[in-house]
Amino acid sequence: MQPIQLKNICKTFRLGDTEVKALDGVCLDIEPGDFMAVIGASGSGKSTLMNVIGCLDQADSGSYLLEGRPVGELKKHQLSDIRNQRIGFVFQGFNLLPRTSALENVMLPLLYYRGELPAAQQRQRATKALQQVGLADRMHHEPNQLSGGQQQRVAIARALVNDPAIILADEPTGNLDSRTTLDVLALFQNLNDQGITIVLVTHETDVAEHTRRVIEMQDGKIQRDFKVENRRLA
Amino acid sequence: MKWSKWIVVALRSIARNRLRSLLTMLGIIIGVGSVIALVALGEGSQADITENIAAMGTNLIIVVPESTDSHGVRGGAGTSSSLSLADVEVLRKKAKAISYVSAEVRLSEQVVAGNSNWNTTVQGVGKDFLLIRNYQLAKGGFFGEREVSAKAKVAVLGQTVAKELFADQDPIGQRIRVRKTPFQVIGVLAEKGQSNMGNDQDDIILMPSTTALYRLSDGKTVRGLLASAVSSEKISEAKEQITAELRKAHRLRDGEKDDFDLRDQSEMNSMASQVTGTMTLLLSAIAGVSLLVGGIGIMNIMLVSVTERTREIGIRLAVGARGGDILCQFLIEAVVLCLCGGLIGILSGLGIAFGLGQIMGISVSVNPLMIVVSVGFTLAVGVFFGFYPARKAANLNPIEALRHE
Repeated sequence: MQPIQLKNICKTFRLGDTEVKALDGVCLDIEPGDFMAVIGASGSGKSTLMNVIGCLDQADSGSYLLEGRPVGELKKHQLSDIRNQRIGFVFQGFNLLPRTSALENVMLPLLYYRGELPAAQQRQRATKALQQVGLADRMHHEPNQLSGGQQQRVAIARALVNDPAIILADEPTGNLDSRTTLDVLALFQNLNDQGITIVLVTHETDVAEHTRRVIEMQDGKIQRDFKVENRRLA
Repeated sequence: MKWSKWIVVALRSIARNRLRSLLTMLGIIIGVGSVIALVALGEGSQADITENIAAMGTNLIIVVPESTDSHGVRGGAGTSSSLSLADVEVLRKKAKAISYVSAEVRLSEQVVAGNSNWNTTVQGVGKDFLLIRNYQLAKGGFFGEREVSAKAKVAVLGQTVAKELFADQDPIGQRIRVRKTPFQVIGVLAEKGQSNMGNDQDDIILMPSTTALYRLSDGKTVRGLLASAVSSEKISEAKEQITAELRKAHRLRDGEKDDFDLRDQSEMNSMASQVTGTMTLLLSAIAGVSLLVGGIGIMNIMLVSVTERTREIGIRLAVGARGGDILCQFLIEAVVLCLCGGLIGILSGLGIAFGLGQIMGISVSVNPLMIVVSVGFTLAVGVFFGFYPARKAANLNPIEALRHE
């Protein structure tokens, strides 16, 4: 089953008297195991696309199927549950809770899990996610004791912990220097090789070159959609 | 979602901002603390007052003569001499609802013993006086029926008088003189302390009513009768019987006014509880105001906290928290904050009450109901003032919250 199918998605924002078409008839299918970059100038609609895919926002029109479920018809609390169980977010600014250990940050989504999950199992899953990002030895450090790259890896572990259908990363390397950027991209490639679907928003073309597929947005429309021929390995 | 989990989250967030949390709680702490302290002290002193009233005598009924009224000039309570020793005998025989009765002749006299002297109240009373007024003997004995009918020259001293006249000597068997009449000391009363009105209840000399009336006084002025009802439920019945018997003994016709007046402890009790009732009302008003101010403080800080933690709320919403989860988190934080404040307030209030009670010599009585009520009230304050900020947090848009700097 395809995790994501977007058909004719439109989203309009009002800014005073002017209407801005952030998304204007976007059609997009994302295959499982894909690693896709969304590029485009600021204001091209790529962030809005991310928010719609991530169920933080709902489209005005068009249909969005996430693993076969019509997201456009879901209620607010159902969107919360989808974000909780099917989607992992990675942000530019890391967005970890301050004065909270890496382990507890990773366990945060499990706090809102609606099923039965004993505390020991929560801990186990968070530990496993931290191992996946190579931070098992930094579990009890707080964000201010970690470097930028490490903080972003904690954020990636948090995105992984609920075993999501897709990871959405919004400018995940925007706050990192070139060396840690490569570290994080290597981690994404590694996770993708394990079969995890990743969508990454960026404005840097050399970051996009590390993915398998690139779509370029402009004025709320998909301008180009192409496979990366010679994928760069970080 | 488990409540225990939220309480842990709330406690952690409170612990993260210790100073701010403490300042936030201060309003609640002061409100609850002052109420607990003042109520504990107030109830304690009320208990003191009731105890003092009870110590005046068990189920005490006091009969005083009506005021004199000569040609329209009224002399005030107890000025007529309508009561006599014969009334005591009448009541003893006929009023079934009273267990003891005694006359009371009261004189202020200069008393001499050896080369010391002292001015004190001399009270001529019956043999049951100790039982009626709850006095105890410290030493020696008391006079009985025989001494009363023989107008015997015997005296029982209060602690103050014994100390003033005999210092460290044993007064038993010693002689004292009252108006040149020698008396033999046969007993000393146990210490009773100050009365409610602040007079020293140990500054007295007791002697048989007949002795005081005929040897020292004018032979007719009985200041009053003291009676105790058989039980507290029988007080009104006893009062009716006393009225009926005395009217008969005084040959009062129907429609004629009583020439005596009855008083009992319930009147004094109701007066005392009226005073403390007013005090309690004032205290509750203070409590209400300070809890209101404290609650507004909590709301203020919670609103600041929601703004300050907008990004955190955004993160939580992004990883799948529902609006209700956020609402719960902030509501519980406010409630926990209030409850912590309430608990600290209760503890410090009790500390202050016991401290002040110790210093000022007032009893402290802790009413568990009061503690339950104040905990309930702080809980309500937390929910009431925490709800608006919590709802504000829950309704945040996750996209905007995440973008918040």
